[in-house]
Amino acid sequence: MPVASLREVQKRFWDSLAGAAGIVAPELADAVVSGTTLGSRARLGIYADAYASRLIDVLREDFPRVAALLGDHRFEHLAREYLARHPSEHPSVRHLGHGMAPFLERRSDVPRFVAELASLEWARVEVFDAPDATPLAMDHLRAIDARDWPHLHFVPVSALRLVRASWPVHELWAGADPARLAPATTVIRVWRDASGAAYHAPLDARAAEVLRLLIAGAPFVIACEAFTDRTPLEAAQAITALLARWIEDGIIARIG
Amino acid sequence: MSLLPHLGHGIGLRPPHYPRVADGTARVDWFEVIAENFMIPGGRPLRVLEQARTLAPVVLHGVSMNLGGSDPLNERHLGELERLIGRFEPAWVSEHLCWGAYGRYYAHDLLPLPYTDEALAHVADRIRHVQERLGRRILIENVSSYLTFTHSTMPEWTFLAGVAEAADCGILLDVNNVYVSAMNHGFSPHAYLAGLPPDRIGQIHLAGHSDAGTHLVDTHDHPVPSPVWDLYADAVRRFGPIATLVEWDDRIPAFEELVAEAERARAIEAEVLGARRQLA
Repeated sequence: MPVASLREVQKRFWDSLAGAAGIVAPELADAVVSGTTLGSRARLGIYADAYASRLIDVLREDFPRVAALLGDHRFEHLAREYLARHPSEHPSVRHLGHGMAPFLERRSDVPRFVAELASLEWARVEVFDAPDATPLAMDHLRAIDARDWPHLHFVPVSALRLVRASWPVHELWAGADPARLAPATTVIRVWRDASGAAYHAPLDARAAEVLRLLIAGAPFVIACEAFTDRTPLEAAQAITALLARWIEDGIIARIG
Repeated sequence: MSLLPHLGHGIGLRPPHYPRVADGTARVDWFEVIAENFMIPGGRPLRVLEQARTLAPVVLHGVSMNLGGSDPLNERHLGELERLIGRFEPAWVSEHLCWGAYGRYYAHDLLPLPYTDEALAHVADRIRHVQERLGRRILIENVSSYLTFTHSTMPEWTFLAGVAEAADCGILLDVNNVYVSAMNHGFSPHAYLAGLPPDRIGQIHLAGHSDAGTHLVDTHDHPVPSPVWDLYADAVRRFGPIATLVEWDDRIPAFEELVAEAERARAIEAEVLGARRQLA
């Protein structure tokens, strides 16, 4: 029998890892030495088991609240299906879970709040290693001339995400029983603090709109439109209060 | 004579010990870090690595270069490694003698190669390319394995030595991996060491493993066991003083316990070399 090329061996080996569970091509089984304690299929099985368990562990680390909510058995089952559809495409395993939330969202057998919780957990992963920025200090805000305010652009740091959900998933993240929650339109900001830790906090509708506009590059005067039902002075005061809070949290990088 | 400077006896730096780097109390000869964990845009890990290199030399250890793979080398990945090297100026860079990706998908595992002339030429060619791109000689590490191929035409140590010679690269000798593979495949770990070219050994790895009953597993979640210490002593006897590093990746102990393992390696090296001097 001709010897398989390196490419052929690796194709069959890869299929035994990431293909249908337990399926080993006869040619591959024949290409592996059987020993006294382990046959060739058992030896290949060591790698197949390690592949699944290692990557499921990675997903469990990235989505700990989703895993807790679903329970070990259900999470592992879903993670296996996820891996079958989304094998890792990146040399760093850090990116493995990027498609988890959309994957869960597409499933009719998974409650929507689980997929939204996965979005929140993935945002926390993303901000953890997003590009660094030196946050703006409060002194900068105080030094701004009042006449300049309308045209200023407050540029957020890269380590900031807005998560939109139809459930209060921050409460699920904190351990709330989903049976006691009701759907509620929710926007959560997720960011990284100076120590490098990830945080998140819900935003009310106005604050969410202001932050959305700032992220989109809108100047201060446009961001004020979130408060059109208030006087310009009240709107400016409300927004500067929000900005002060966000600057303290380190999510505003600079004034453009 | 070692291929590289003898940095002493270091540890693999993992997240549980980042606080010890951050507060400057991580006293150790040198650190090795997993290169891929730092191929990120920003955040705390990069800051920690900056701090680590102010405390001790740092070495980058890659896990996903797929040197033995049959896909084209991932040039983007090499570019990221180049950037890391430029920023952190590691004492050296190492990778594994294995494959880990197929059809642009990554297994995130260290998969075994058949020990054939085809594989040897293929891997050596890719290592040469990597060395040219990085402008430096790299070290390649032997991996633990749980299977061998019927069409292999040479023992693993001959393959490793052949690749190192053909690619003109160094060897990162993982003593635990030699032991684990020796037990799993029934060869002599001492014959393995005897088959390696001493002038290409640049670094040694030590780690713990687990006994699964039918085979040993390279788990890096235990102290270095006695047979691995014994094999390390044999390696020192054969190759002389070589920069040595203790890896511990799961159930990671307190920093002091990890450093104690590195200190034990130092003591064994001193004992073996002292005895060798007396004999001379």
